[in-house]
Amino acid sequence: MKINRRGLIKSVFAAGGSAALARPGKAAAGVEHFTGNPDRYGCLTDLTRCVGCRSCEAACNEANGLPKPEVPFDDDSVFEHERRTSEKAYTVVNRYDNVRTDAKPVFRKIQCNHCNEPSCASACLVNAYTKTPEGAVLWNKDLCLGCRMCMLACPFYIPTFEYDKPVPKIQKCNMCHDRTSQGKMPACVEACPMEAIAFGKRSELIKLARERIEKEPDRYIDHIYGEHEVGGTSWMYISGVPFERVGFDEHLGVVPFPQYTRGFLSAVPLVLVIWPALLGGFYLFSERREELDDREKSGKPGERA
Amino acid sequence: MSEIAKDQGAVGDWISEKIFMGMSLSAYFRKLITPFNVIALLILAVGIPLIVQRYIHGLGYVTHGSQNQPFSLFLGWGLFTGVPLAATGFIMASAVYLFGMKEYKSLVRPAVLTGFVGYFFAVTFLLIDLGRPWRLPYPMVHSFGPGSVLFLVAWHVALYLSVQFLEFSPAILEWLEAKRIRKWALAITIGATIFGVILSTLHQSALGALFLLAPGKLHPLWYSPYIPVLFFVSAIYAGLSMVIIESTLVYRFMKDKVDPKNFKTIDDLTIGLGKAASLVLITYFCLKLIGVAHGNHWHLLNSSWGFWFLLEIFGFVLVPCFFFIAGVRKRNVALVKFTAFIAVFGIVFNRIMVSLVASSWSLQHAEFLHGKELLVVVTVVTVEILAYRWIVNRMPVHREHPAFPGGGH
Amino acid sequence: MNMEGILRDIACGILVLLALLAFAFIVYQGGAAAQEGDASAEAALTGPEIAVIGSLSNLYEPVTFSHRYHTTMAGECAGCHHHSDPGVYMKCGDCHGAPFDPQNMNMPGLKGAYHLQCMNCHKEMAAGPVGCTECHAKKPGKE
Repeated sequence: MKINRRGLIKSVFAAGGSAALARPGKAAAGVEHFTGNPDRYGCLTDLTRCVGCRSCEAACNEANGLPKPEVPFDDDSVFEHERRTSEKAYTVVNRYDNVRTDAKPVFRKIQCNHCNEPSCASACLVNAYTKTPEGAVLWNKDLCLGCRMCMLACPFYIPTFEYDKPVPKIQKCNMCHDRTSQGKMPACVEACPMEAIAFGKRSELIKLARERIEKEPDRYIDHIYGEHEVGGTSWMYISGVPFERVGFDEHLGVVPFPQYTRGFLSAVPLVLVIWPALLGGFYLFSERREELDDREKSGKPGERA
Repeated sequence: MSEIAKDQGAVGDWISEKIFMGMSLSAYFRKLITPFNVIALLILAVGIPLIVQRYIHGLGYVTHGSQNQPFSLFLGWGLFTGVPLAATGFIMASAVYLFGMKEYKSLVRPAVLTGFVGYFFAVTFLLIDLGRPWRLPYPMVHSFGPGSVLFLVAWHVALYLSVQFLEFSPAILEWLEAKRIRKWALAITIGATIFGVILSTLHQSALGALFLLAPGKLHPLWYSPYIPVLFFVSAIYAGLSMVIIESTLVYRFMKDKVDPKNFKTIDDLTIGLGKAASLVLITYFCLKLIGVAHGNHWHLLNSSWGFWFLLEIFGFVLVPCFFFIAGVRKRNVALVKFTAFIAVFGIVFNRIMVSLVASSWSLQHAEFLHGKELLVVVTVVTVEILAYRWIVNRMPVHREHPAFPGGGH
Repeated sequence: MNMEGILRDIACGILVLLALLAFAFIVYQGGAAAQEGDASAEAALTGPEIAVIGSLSNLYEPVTFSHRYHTTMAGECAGCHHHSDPGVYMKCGDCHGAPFDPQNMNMPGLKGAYHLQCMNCHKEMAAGPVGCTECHAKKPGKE
């Protein structure tokens, strides 16, 4: 059944038009210099102060109503192997050998780093993550499908999934958003006896970190982890030993992860617009060739080529 | 006979004709007992309860999905492998309707059906894998995350499934003998084909683009900014190879459902498909090398991961390319058919590598195979094959419906 | 009377005198030291013998802090009562209040001040309790 030119153009426009409408995509905004809310909070963990008492873990557990763990919080045996966050523990502390002095092992707390430009938020297809003005990155239980794309996207391997529940949730640190919006500190910050975690505006914390490093250059490595990594995070660290030795990934780069998919996403509207014309063109060429072949075969005088 | 009895008789006749292919119930069930069906039934008997358990106890019941490795075979096979293998529809439809290669017409409908069934069961795998599958429509209607590549995949798979259904609907309508609706369905073919190519281009490449967000997690030999292009190009030869495989299997095992005319042309068509596939394969091979060059990762080839990468591009891309060329040159149809299987295996290898294996290369403790997972995958694939067979048995896919000569186009 | 006998007596007498002087000197020095010790002991006596630190106790029982023991160990006050004028001995809580004051981010809050001060010194001296329950028991019911 041959379709005449008019019909083709109509159907192509219908297809292309609905394609363009059907995807409410937006062109990449191309934000080159992201500043975010200048008053957003952050936390600065000073690894030279942490003694591995796990009070932060206990406080987090209580503040979030998580089930009590099998091994109590004052049990040191958990340090024997490196742990990661789980659906029952939004934060964990790991122990590492100190490459500078054998006497004093280094402890390191892991939790969501609340990135400036969170990879998880960019990966979520239902927009279930929000970077709040307070700095915390929150997950919305009313939208999540459980696709676990955020878990793949997070460079720090933070979000955890309740594999054992028929109605599962994603679990991760939320920087105690309900406490910070009432002017209180996150539970782990308040619990720490050594004040290893400082809480305040991210900009102030960077100044504090620089001050500490400047005052005691022998005590600290001259680097604030999280100041620029993956575009900057709200949770930052200073340390007395090289960061690689305490479980940090130093190869993440400074590009915020959402940038990596921007190139592809900005090509999408191009395909939506060019393909209909290109393919429609192929169709017209091939129809025309067939028409000419037919005329040739039947010996009719054809149109001039 | 009373009116009611006549109606009942009409319904019974319809069921008997359409569903049981004109056989009596007992004859039909007797015909069902074949070795393949018995094995299939055993698989289903084990697998379906497993799937039910997955919904009762949570995803952890059937997968080894860990916190560090969120994806398992359900996505690795069902989505990432299943989708390129279902690329048959847009390739054959564009070849015949847009590029005017009318000689391949007999392969369009089967290709569209393969595409439709493939995407339908990719969505089935998604429904098994999602934590909250009842929220599957959310990205479509409830909350948009347009910065996410997965959002694009979701929309396009949904739209493409609809397009494939529309493209296949003439066959269904011929089976149901609904003349007027069928006319309308045919009229939208070109538009649907173009739309289908647009959607396919985007979502085949988007499946690759998902991994752009995991630069540290996916091994550098497989990670490259060109992943979207690599996935799209490989989907093309995957589709071509699947058309060869599908026609090989159906023409061998379901001879009576195939139009006798087609047997004369299928060899030429297979050779033609092999020719096209060889072109795409050599292109893909070069693109893979460009990917390595772009990241300057040549030194990584000299490692155990490098070995697997070289195996993939030489053994499963270059070798089938040469075999296709040899088969085409010497008109050796058997070689072309055999090579199609290798090429498809290469696709499976690549997709499993990218989604599961190479994306956990930096983890100390990586697992990607769970016995129950494999069972569920085999179960769903069995259902897929059975569904495909059910449709080919009844609807005019490989043959023309006597009331609609010419197949419609 | 012979000369030898007289010289011997004089020598003995001088030796005894010297011994007495030496003894007196030693006693005097010791006494002076003892007097100084007495003076610092007096100062230590003005500080508390023990202090019960319980203003922040939430999860743990108050700490029974042996102030006398520490002053003896330290020998001086400014090691702990730092950043203040000499002779002025403030309580920790007089300066250290709530933590993370944006004007003075580097000043720890009271709980941090306690732990940082005590534990850092204990670690440096490699003596003294560093574990949580070594200083204060867990409150019952706060597991």
